[in-house]
Amino acid sequence: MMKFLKLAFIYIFCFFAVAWVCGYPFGEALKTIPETMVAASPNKVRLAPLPNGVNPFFILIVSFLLGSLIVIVSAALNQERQEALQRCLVGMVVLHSLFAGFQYAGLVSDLDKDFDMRGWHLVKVGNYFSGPQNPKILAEQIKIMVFPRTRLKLDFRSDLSFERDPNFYLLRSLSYHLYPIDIRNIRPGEFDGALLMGVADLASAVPSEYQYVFPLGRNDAIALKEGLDSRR
Amino acid sequence: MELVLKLMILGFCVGFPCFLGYTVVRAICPHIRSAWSAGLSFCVGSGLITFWIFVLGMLKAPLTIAVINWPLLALAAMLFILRRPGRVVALEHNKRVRFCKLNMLDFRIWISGAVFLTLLFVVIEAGALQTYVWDSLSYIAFNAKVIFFERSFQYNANLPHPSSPMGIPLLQFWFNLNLGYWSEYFIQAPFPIYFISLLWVVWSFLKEHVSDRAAWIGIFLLIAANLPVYHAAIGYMDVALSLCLCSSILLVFEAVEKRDDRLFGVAGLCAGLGVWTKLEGAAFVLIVAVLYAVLECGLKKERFKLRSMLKRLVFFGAIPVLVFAVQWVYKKDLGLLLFAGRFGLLGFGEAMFRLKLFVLKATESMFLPLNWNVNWLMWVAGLMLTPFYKNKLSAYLCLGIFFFWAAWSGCFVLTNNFQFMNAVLSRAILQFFPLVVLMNAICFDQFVFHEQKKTKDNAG
Repeated sequence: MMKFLKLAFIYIFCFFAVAWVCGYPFGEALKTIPETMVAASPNKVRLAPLPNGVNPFFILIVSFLLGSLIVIVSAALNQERQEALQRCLVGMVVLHSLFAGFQYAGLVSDLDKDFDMRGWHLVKVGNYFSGPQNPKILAEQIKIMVFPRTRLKLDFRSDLSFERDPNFYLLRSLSYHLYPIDIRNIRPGEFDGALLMGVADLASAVPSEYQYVFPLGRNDAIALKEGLDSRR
Repeated sequence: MELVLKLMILGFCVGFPCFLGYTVVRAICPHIRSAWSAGLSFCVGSGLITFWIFVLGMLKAPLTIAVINWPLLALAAMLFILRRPGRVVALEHNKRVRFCKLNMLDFRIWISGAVFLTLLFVVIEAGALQTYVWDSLSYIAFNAKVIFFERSFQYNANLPHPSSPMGIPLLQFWFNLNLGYWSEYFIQAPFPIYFISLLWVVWSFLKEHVSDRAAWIGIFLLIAANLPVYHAAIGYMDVALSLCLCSSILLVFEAVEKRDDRLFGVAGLCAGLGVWTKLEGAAFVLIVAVLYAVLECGLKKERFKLRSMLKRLVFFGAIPVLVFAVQWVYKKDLGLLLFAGRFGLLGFGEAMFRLKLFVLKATESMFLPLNWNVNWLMWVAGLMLTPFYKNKLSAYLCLGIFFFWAAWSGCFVLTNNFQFMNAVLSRAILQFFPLVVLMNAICFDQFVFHEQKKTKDNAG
């Protein structure tokens, strides 16, 4: 056990020594490194660089090399050369644990941001669905406007391009949250109306066969066929 | 009161697949270890439920709770009543459960704490994130929502990504069907359970094959890798596929080791569920079959018998082939093609250029520290420092990793999937990542703990 603790101390000491050389003394490193470890997306978990541009992975690699050098030299001096490589492998696990510790600290601080701990109020959903597009809120707004018609099929029209983000995401998100109001042509048959979004000239964009127009914003509206007006 | 009711329904949605899966696995292989049948129970149970829904949908039967749940409840009850008792292994004296004082220097306490913290994070995050990730919004949860509101498969040809297997969307549909309305929380519930099952399977396999300390380290290596943990909280299908594939690979190894042909049936069931989870699962069944052939021909010391090997391959491949065939027939009936537009022949120069980009991207994806922490570094160090090829299990796992790399390189270099390489390569690695963790744990067991033991023995 003492051997392991000694080994852990060497590698952890090397890590913080390298961090210090890179401009992050012990306390600063403990505070700053966890903040770089929360940039997750479904395709990769990015490691953000530290504020002065140094990548924490660079610190990890250099500290591993430094720690391993110390371990190999001390093993050679103590006539324990056979064990040196095993100790390096254990050292890698020590650094893995240290990184995992930072990662847990990052997760906890991330959760703290997502929840208002005093009232157990969830703010993350609000964060994800806020912003200029607001797809979930917009979907709820549309559902309320056309109530009690819940199974409409709407023709989605826009002057914007939906080939790239953020509009690409907006359309998918809106169509998910709107369903069973169908804007992705899932159900065959005629349209019951149109959903106009980001249309420059709204007045001329509303097709003549649609009569009831509910404005959603300056460039957005819902137009429904005659007989589908919910407020009559 | 409403919350209690919801929790009870959630308990049913999780508990029933577990019960069904447990009884089915036990029915196929009564002597399978309890840890295996428990670890695979949710995966197998949920796969059977969704396949049953798929069959009902194909036959245009009404998709109601009674039609879906009652026959399966009857099946599970029947299998439970008719079950053959497994071997009861008495606890040895020194293995009896003892309550002892907690020693804070014991690293197992710390790893247990890390596991608990990770699972807590996964469960909270799964509830908090709801449906916001791209694939989920675009087609997984979306398809589930369409089926939920239409209660039929009549618009399936118009769904986005219609060639994708329907396992996970139908599971999300079933969770909300039991609840009675569309809940953003309920559709997130299966994903943490898949992750817990994966941890369980890895743990139980390691406990059987390496020392206790190495098993704990293996679990720690898995939970300290970020991408699997993050995927456990979002609505993607890669952790589920990873569970199915890795279970299948490990069960094939155990089946050959223990000469238990029934284990091949369970391995085949897991591979079939892989086919039912994602399209690439079909290709991976071939990898598992080739791995088995290599294990039988090359790594086993006994005489090789072609006839028994073919028999086992048929036993293993029956369920995946059935699952694939049913899907293929259904999609064909809808006028869809399963791998439509994904294949195209390339010139040699173009293929070499793509291969170079693939190698660069793969290197970046492997060693990008926060996806996998330092697992891949450790794996490379293990390959260089240890005679892994002398250990049959290590050699088998290493070959598996090599085959997966070969399959993905072929997929990206030779087909139109090249355009998605930047986006999906890390997720592709996630599907076989548990094999890397297992190899690292074995390397530790062989190289570090074994050497320590030798040193102690020599000193003694």
